[in-house]
Amino acid sequence: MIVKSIDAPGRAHPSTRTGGRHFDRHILPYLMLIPALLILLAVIVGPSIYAIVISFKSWDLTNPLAGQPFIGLQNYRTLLSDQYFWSALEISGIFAVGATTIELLLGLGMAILLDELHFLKNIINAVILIPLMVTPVVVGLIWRYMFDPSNGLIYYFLSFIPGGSQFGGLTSTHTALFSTMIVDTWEMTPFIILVLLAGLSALPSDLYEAARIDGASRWQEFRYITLPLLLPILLLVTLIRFMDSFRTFDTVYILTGGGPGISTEMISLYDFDTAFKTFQLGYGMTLSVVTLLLLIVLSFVLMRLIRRRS
Amino acid sequence: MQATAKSFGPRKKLPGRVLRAVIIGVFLLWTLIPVALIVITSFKLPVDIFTRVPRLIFHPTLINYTNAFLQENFLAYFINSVIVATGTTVLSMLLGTCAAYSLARLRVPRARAIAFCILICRMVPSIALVLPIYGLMQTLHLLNTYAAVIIAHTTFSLPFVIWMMLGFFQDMMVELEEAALIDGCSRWGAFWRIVLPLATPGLAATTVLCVLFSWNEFLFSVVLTSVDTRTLPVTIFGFIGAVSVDWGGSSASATIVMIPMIVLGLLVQKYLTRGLTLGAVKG
Repeated sequence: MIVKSIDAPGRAHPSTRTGGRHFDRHILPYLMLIPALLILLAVIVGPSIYAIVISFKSWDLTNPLAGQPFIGLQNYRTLLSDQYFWSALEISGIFAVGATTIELLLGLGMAILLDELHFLKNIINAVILIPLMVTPVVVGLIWRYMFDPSNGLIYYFLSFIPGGSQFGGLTSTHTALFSTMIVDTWEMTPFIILVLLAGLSALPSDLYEAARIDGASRWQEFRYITLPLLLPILLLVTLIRFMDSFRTFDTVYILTGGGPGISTEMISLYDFDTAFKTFQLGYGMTLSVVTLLLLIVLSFVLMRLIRRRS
Repeated sequence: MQATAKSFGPRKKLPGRVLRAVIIGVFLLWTLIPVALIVITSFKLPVDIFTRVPRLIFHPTLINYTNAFLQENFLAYFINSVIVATGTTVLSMLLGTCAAYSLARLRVPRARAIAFCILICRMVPSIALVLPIYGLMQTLHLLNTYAAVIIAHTTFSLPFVIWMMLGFFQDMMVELEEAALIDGCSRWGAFWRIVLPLATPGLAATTVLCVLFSWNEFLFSVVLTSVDTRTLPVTIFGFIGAVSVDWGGSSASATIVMIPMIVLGLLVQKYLTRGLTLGAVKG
């Protein structure tokens, strides 16, 4: 007997099966799905709507008697003329572009070298991943120690280079942002290597054999085979890294706290400080809403790519 | 196999191979030195820490560790972190696995659209949620409770579990489940007795990554906890004073915080690619 549909009702034991099938088809799917959706609604959609509502109000934690009066678009008007907001946006943008570029170039280079490696391959690939697992706060701490002006390892190494001790590191407004990019590079290049290695190992080897028979140079191989085939994955990691570095918080907050001055005060740090240092919760929520909108625009681009791949 | 085929023939000459080894070696040092430095420092006395030239030979001491546990109440914060990570992971795994199975197999209308919305949820940055959640918790008088942090961590953990498990369920063969259903098993029975045991590697990897994300999380924890509920990353942050940092004490704490996560992370190394790219790259 050929069973055409496993959901054919009342096949084996008509009386009990029909009830069971009804439950399986019309109740169980929702019973399994709804609890999770309700939680997501409560913890993500709810707070997002709450933030939008509060962004139209003034909520000053230092002045509890004032309550939360409705002030319309005032917060948004303030934001448009808030030079610190625009500066934070610019710093986040520079950081995201800078860090992503360095990580991408370094990551691609290392992935190609590691892909051809056979000696101790598994151990080396595992060791390289360690920074990804280190608690971001600890990454901040470690690198504050590395950059410590009096006994940091970085200054020890720089002391061998003429003029190296002039490097401002985290304490100069000129070099602090660059220094945070270096730390981000340490922390996140492994992610790019990890993904690109997965991408490289999936490339068809017969193309390389054909290229070699035709006498292609290594550069031609890279330029005309590896790069085009790897492009979708490269684009994907670029976007993931760009978004993540645009909203980075933990590591930079520990490293510099936004300083010196406001030289590393990124949008996430400015948002945090508005709420928890100057206690302007209403205006802070406005910043949250704007940050969220910016990132939604970015993530739509990203998701189009992910969907195309899956 | 593919790797050997790709490096087919004696392509690489000796200088090239040496150069490659040197570059990889330098990269390994760059990766390992900062981590090793903090571990080594945690065994040093202040006299060995505050030196212009880094000291590699010194008398190791456990004083930083005993201080952390005896003076800094470190054990209490460790337990807090365990409670929060466990609570978050259990909640997300229970609800998330069921929801993912429902979306993958149970013919829910608009399953694709729902899955897409869940992906959007995963993209919402913590920095945009931390203020409203703080405001809500204050209104609900839940500030400084474990519940507040666990709920906050669910914002990234639950969408992560759903999206990961959805991928694992979609990759599984349908035939075994169908056989069980034909043999008179209920849907729930098939899920419980056939699907879950087959999905054990995926479940384990997702669980470990959930623990890792929650353990490492700082932003929600620093805002929503106080002395009684403080988690480890917040404790580490507390070491960074306005003027100076207690490097010995902080490096001992940092070592205790990061080592378990490095071990867990390496255990699920195989699934890391998938976990960190939301399933876009299978690895």
